[in-house]
Order: sequence, then C-alpha cells, then structure tokens
Amino acid sequence: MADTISANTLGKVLDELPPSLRWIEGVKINTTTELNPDALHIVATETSSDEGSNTSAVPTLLADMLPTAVSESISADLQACGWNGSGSYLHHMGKQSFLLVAASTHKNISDARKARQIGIDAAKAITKFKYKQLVICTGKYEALDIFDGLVMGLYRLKFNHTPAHKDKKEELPKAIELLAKCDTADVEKRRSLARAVMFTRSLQDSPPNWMHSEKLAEVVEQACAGLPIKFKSFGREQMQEMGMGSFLAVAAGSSKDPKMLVMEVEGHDSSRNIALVGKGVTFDTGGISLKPSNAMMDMKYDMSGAAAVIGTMLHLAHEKPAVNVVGLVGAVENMPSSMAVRPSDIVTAMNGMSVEILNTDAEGRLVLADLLCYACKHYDPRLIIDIATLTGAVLMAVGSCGAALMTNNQKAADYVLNTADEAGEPIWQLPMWDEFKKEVKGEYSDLKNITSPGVRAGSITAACFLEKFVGDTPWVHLDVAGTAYDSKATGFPNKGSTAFGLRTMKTACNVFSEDFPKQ
Amino acid sequence: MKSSFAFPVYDWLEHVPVHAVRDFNPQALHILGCQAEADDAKGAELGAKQTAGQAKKPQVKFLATLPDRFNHALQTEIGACGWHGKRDSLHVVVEGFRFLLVPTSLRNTTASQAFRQVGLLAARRLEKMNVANLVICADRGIDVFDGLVMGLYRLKFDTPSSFAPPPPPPNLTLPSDIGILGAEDIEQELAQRRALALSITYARTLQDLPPNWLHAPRLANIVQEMSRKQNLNCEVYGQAKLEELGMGAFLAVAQGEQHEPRMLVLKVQGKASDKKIALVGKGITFDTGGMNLKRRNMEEMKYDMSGAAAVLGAMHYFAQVQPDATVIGIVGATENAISSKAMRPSDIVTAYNGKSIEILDTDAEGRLLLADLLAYAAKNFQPDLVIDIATLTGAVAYALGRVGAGFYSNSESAAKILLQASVQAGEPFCRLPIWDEVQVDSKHADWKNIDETNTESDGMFAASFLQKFVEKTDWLHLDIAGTAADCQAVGYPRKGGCAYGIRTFVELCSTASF
Repeated sequence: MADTISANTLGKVLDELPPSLRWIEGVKINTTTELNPDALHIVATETSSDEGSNTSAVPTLLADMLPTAVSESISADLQACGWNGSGSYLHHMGKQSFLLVAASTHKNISDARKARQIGIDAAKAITKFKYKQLVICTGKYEALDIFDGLVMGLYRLKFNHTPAHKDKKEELPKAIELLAKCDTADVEKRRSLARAVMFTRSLQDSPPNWMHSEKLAEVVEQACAGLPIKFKSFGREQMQEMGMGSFLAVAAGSSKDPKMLVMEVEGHDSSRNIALVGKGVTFDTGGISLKPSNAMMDMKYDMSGAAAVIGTMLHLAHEKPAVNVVGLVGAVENMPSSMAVRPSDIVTAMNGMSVEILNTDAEGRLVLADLLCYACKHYDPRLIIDIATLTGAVLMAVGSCGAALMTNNQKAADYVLNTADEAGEPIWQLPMWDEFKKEVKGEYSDLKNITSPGVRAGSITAACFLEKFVGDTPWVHLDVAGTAYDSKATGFPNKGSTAFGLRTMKTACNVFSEDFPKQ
Repeated sequence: MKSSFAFPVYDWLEHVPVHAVRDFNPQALHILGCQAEADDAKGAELGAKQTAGQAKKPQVKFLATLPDRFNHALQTEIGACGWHGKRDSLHVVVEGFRFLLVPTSLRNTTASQAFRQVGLLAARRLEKMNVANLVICADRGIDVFDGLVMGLYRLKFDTPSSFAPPPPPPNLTLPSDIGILGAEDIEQELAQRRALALSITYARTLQDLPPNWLHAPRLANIVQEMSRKQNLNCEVYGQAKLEELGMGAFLAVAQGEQHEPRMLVLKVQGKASDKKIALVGKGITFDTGGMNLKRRNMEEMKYDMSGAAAVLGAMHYFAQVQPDATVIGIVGATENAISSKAMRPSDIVTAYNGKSIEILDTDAEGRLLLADLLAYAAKNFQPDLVIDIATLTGAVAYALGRVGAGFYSNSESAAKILLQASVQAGEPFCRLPIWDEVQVDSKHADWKNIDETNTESDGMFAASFLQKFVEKTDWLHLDIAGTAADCQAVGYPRKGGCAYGIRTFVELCSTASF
C-alpha cells in the first residue's frame, strides 16, 4: 500500500495528459492558523433573506478562524460599499486580499456540495488575477470541500500531446493553505481524490481520435504502474475465447482493438468483492443506426462510466477500501463500417443468452452485459455497481441535475443512495416495474436490445435488459447520461466533464460492511 | 345544444344485481383466478440454458378456496390439456359446472391490480360468449368485479352529428347477475365499489368521447346535469367571468378556439375532518399544440382532458360516498386550437396571481391553465393539500412509459401520503425530482412556460413552474401523460381511457390523515 504520495504517481501519463494533473501532483497543501499577506483568502459568505424586509442584509462571513477584528472590518467595508451578497467579490484591505464567495441559497442541497460550488465559483473568479498562493478559510463549509471544488474549477483541458502545447504554462497557484484544523492524512486523501477526479475528467474530455480503446488501455496501465493495483487487459481474441459475443458485436465495426480492462485493489477484508463496471464507448456514432449530427457531438463522453470507474480505482489504491474492489471497464468504439454489426443481427453473450440487436445505437447495454457476466463469474461480488451514459431517456426522467439509479435489490439501492448523499452526488431512483420485464424478451432470440417503440421508458427497459446478466447478485445500475458532462448540478463543473459517480463509488467501497440479502 | 348523454355501460352497472353467493351454480359461469406456480423465478435466467431440455410440469395454483372435489377435478383437467396458467384463460366443465380459469400473477404487483387483471381477462373472454349469470371465485372477489366492469366497458359512437346513446353492441350481452362466492358482509364495500366502478365508467366515457362533440361548453352541461342528479354543488364560470377574475394564462390557451372555455368548481363536504383537499384537473378537450403545432401523436390528443375526467370522476364518487375531508374539484376546460386568434410563441400574459408569463411554446398549454387554477384554489379555498392531475408532458410519458405515472411534490409528507394511497389503490406512481437548480425565470417576464435550452427534462420544468403558483401550500402534481389512455399496467384496460388517478384520489381523500 503506497501510503506516501510520490510526486510522480501518474508516471509517464503526465506528459500526455493536461498540465493541471501535474499541478495537483506537486502543489503544496498545508494547514495554517494565520492569514498570509501574499495570498488571496477565499471566504464563503451567506446573506440571510428575510422576505418582506426591504433593508438589504449584510452578507455574513463564514470563516471560523478569521480574527474578529479582520472580519468586523471586512463587514463594515461591505456595508459601506453595499455588495448585495451574490456571486463573488474581491476585497482588498490593507495588504490583504479576500475573495468573498456567496454560498448557494438552495434549500435541499448538502453543505458538501455547496462548499464545492464555492470552490468552483472561486476558481472562476481568480482566473482573472495572478495570485500564486491561496488560503481557504473553513467555517460552515469545510475548507477541504471548498478545496475539492476549487481543484475542479481550476482544471483546464489543454492537451500536451500536440507539440504546440508542450511548454505552455498554466497559471495555477503554487501553494494552497487551509485556514482550518485538518489532519495531514485527510489532506492527502483529498489530494488523492482530487487527482482521481481530475484524471477521470481528462479521460472524459480527451478527443476520441486520440483516446480510443487501445490508447485508453495504455494510459490506464501506465497510471496503475507502481500502485497497488493489479491490472489486466484483454483484447479481441481473448474475449472471443471467453465467448463475449455481445461486447464484440459492438467492436465489430471498429478498426481499433476493443479492450476489457480489469483492475483489482485489495481491501481490509480480502475475502469479499465489490465489482464496479463502467461503460467505455470511446466514441459512439450509433453504428449502422447512425445518430443525427446534433446528437453525435458529445459522444466522446460515452466512456464517462469507464472513466469514473478508473478514477475510483486509482483513488482506492491510496485509500484502502473495506473489501476487495474490482473495476471492470469495456473500452470500445461504436463505428459504422462494412464489418459493423447490423440491426437484426443475433449474437450470443457470455452467459449463453442470445441477443437480437435491433438498434446498434443501444450498444452500451451490449458491452455491459458481458462485463456483468464476467464480474459474476470470476468475482462472485457482494455488490455490483455499473455506471454508464446509457440512455437519453434519463434526461426526461431526472434531467441533468442528478443521475438515475435502478436496482434488483432495494437494500443495495438504499445503501448506494445513502452513500451518494454522503458523497454529495444527487441520485434518484427509478422503478423497474414488472410490466417492463417481458419487453426485452426477443422474438427470434432470448433477448432483444431495444423494446418496441410504444413501450418507451428507455432507461428502465435498459435496466431490465442488464438485470438478465447479474442473476441474483445485488446490483445497482447508475445511468449518468445526464450528469457525466455539462451537468447543471450544484457542486459540479457545468461545462464539460464532471467525473460523476466517482465520489459515490469510492464512498460505497470505503464504508461497505454488511452483505445484502439476495432478493 | 344537445347535451343529455346516456352512458351505456353506466346504466347497466347501476342496476345489475351484484351479491355474495354461498354455492356454486350449475347455470352460471364461474370465473376462477389462477396463478402459475414458480412463475419464472428470478435468477433462473442464468441457469436457463442448462435446464432448457427438461420439460417442467406446469403447476397451477387457484387463488380461491375450492372444495376438494372441484380442486381435484380441475387439476386433472389442467394436467390433461397441459395448460400452463399463463396468458390465455381456459374454459373447463367439471361435474356439470362451468369454470373459466383466468391467469394472473401476484408477483411484484399489488394484489388489487392482480385480481382486477382476472376480471379484465375474463371480460375479454366473455365478449365471445353469451353468459347471463356469473360467479366470481377468487380471494378478492370485489377486485375481480372491479376489473370485470372495466373489461366490459364498451364505447361505440353513433354518427357525430346525432350522438344518440348507442345501442349495446349486438354481439355483447352484459351479464344480468353477478355473484361473488364465499364473501360475507360485503354489502357496504360492494356499494362503494359499485360507486367507484360507476365513477370510473363515467370518467372513461368523458375521456373517450370524440373532441368534435365534447367541447368545453358541452362538457360543462354534462357535468351540471350529473351534479343535479347526484346532488353535487357545482359552479360554472364562462369567458366573461374568467376575464373578470383575471385568468390571463387560462384565457390565452382558450383564445384560439371557436367555443368558450369553462371553469367548473365542484364541492363535497367532508364528514370526519375539517381538512380541505383541492383536486385540480387539466381539461384540454383537444390539443393541436396551437401555433407550435404537433407533428405527431395528435390522434391521442382527445385524451388531453384526462386529468379533468379523473377529477370529475372522483367528485362523482364523493357525491355518493362521503369522504372524510372536504373535497373541492376544479376543472378548466378548453381546446388548444390553432387559428388567427390563437396565442403566439413569445406572447406575454398575466396570470391570476398577477405574475407575468412568457409563452415560449404554445404546446406547453396545460401548465398555463393549471397555473391559474392552482392560484385560484390556493387563494379562494386555502386547502390543506392541493393535487393537480394532468396529461402534462411527453417527457414523463417517455421516461416512465405506460405502466405508471410520475408525480412531483413540494412536501415530503404529502408525497408519502400519495404513495401510500397509490399502493392501496393499486395504481402505480413514481415520485420524480424537482432539483433546486431548475429555474423558470424569463428574460422578459416573471416566468416562462418552457426552458428553451433544455426541453428534455420538461416534466421537471413544468412541475417547477406549477410550484410557483401554489406557493407554500402542500402540493402534489400528478403527470399522467403516459397512463391516461392505453395504459399497460397490470389491472388496467389496454385500450382507451382508464380514468387513471381516480383510484388514488378516492383512497387518499377517504382516509386522509395528515
């Protein structure tokens, strides 16, 4: 177990991934008890809104360790200039600088998410200034949570793999101080989480001509090197031997070798396993059932589930999970070509079930089907969480401010919903009504990969399809099609990647104790 | 205007004798609920391939207590013909007694749905048979009766110009006597269930009527006539009155149509509590979409008044079976037509509560109408709970399909009460979120009626929009766009209107204990 963080944990990969990743490896993070004259101090604020009263309330500073004299004097200045307490506000006082950031006023959002949003908003504000040092003040909102958001906000995606960007300097702070009482171990756990989130996000945002299945396997292998992660990778031939006909059907049109990546991390209790399964379609054209152009633009994000699983595994290498965790990723590109799978082709999945592919754009479930079989067969997991940008229909059900969860085991679902709450990720359960279960039965095969059009409920019927591959293993399916990128949720970057699901999966693996009774 | 309209199955249902019986009847057809045992056990899928070769002996369980002689004889017959207890029903004669064995499944559905399903399937079979006497043999015979009535409901129309009450279809003879075996002391329950079945028939008829005949003024007349018969307090508001009230949002929807809009307010006093519940229904008698004309599925749009039908059906029930809480039913009826007078996308109107609304999409008209009704309910009745019901958004219909409806709420406790009532009633509902981040602010007015940048999660947006008009009142918004017609849930007729929502309303208002 690597308890200390080496500056080069991500090794060679760093040369090719965005510079902010190198920055998070190296940036100094300390706790402090004093103000720093050279730094910008990030202070959360809130304004009590007494409806009806017209006198504008003065924003309250939420910083416990700020000297009273300082906070009183800031308050007096704020009153004088009449800042209405929305957005952020840069305030100089003597030689010191303060960035006041308004906390979200939404009622049903956890403090951790609000704190992350403060960090994201602060990052947006400081891009206009050249502060080399930052101080984050703790108060109602934990400094570490604000730090979490700050890192997400500072993350920039400029790629190094083109020579023009090789030496481009990112103006990122050199040191971050936390005006708070935190354990060094906790700080390093957060750094590890921040790194995992950033790594996941850079995989998500990478252009699909570069980040194809073979490249993904290479990058992940390099990232795992030197960490206590057992890494295995399987290609087309090995998958053929294992009978993964469903997965390979998706790969048929691709000129790249599809990859199944397996990452194992040992837990405190090494007799039980949790399996995390991620959909890694590096680009989804829809295949022969080609998507219209406006629906194809964001399809590099169709590997977001896989990216979240990979990030979770990298973090778990630094924070040993409660039980063994295996991360399974199916990386493949869904392309049309003369070799590609056709609508109405029938293939056989790893468990022997035949599947009629009626729409080649419902490919995620085909990839996941074989991965779920593999997980059940080789690991006998106590819990499977699969995560995928699976269906557009999920946007209709829960929009882009939260993900959808479906399950075959309510106890497991409750567990994951609770951990999601704790981890600050909004997730909503959708019902797997029984009437839908017959809709995935095929006319010419055991199963079909889409239902007849009148059935609708695309997210739920997709889950009904997946359910056929997990037996009675407690299984939770996360559909993150609405939240993996361009999410509108508080506490997540709202443009580009979000690494959604990573925090929930990480927490679920860390606090797992009791098995769920099979249902 | 010819408005008196006889509801065909309704008249039969009002008078047909339904009673408990103690014995089997050699003259009657016995409807017997059955369930296939070990009904494809979960997890068997993985091992399915291994066991495929060995044919399993079908096992059928009867969902009723039968004397041994029948039990034995029926099992023998089943074994002889190899009936598996699924899908189709089986007609068997043993010892001179006729049985219709009807399959259902109790797995993962409420018992009331499963037993209603028996009735529905039996009715399908009865279409092809001429049966005068029926005996229902099942544990929950009253639920079977409920399903049977839903299955027997037929609505064929005469020519649209006359709309005389249609004669019963010649090939359908409605049973003249229905017995429920083994049930005792069920008079009161049966009376209530008959009232519910009548209310459902009433609401379904309103749903299924063609939109050239059932426009807002005629709907109002039909409801007034019903109210007189049922001794129900009913007020009708027309165009002038709505203008006076300042219902600019509702009137914007109505301005394109050739008839006048109507708002109906019905009231039933509660018997046990001083709580007040307001039920608010969307009654778009036909929805063309207006200027944002619909490109598809317009033929289903006569069902866009299904929310109103559910509220009217519920009020019809409460007129006969007094609820615990006082119930106020409010319905807005109009047509969303396209014409030179119709509203345009980007029009701004002022709602009853004084807020301005920018209409960015004329096909998001239901929420405009409901906005005024909800604000009206909140202001004039101060209800403890307001529930609106509407075929509101395609988003919910696509998200949840046709086997359950979605609902939204601003109150945890109200949501809990609704879910309990829905389970009791055997009417599936799933709560959907209104995330705090959803914004309905408009650039040019207070609010806008759609989010033009994100139309996918329109169900949630609509809920968030409506929430603005109830302010602090506990509120539930039921979006039945997927289930109002052609509902695929167990225990519902597969074709046409199904009065979705009535059962939950009846359950909720009869036992409302906040």
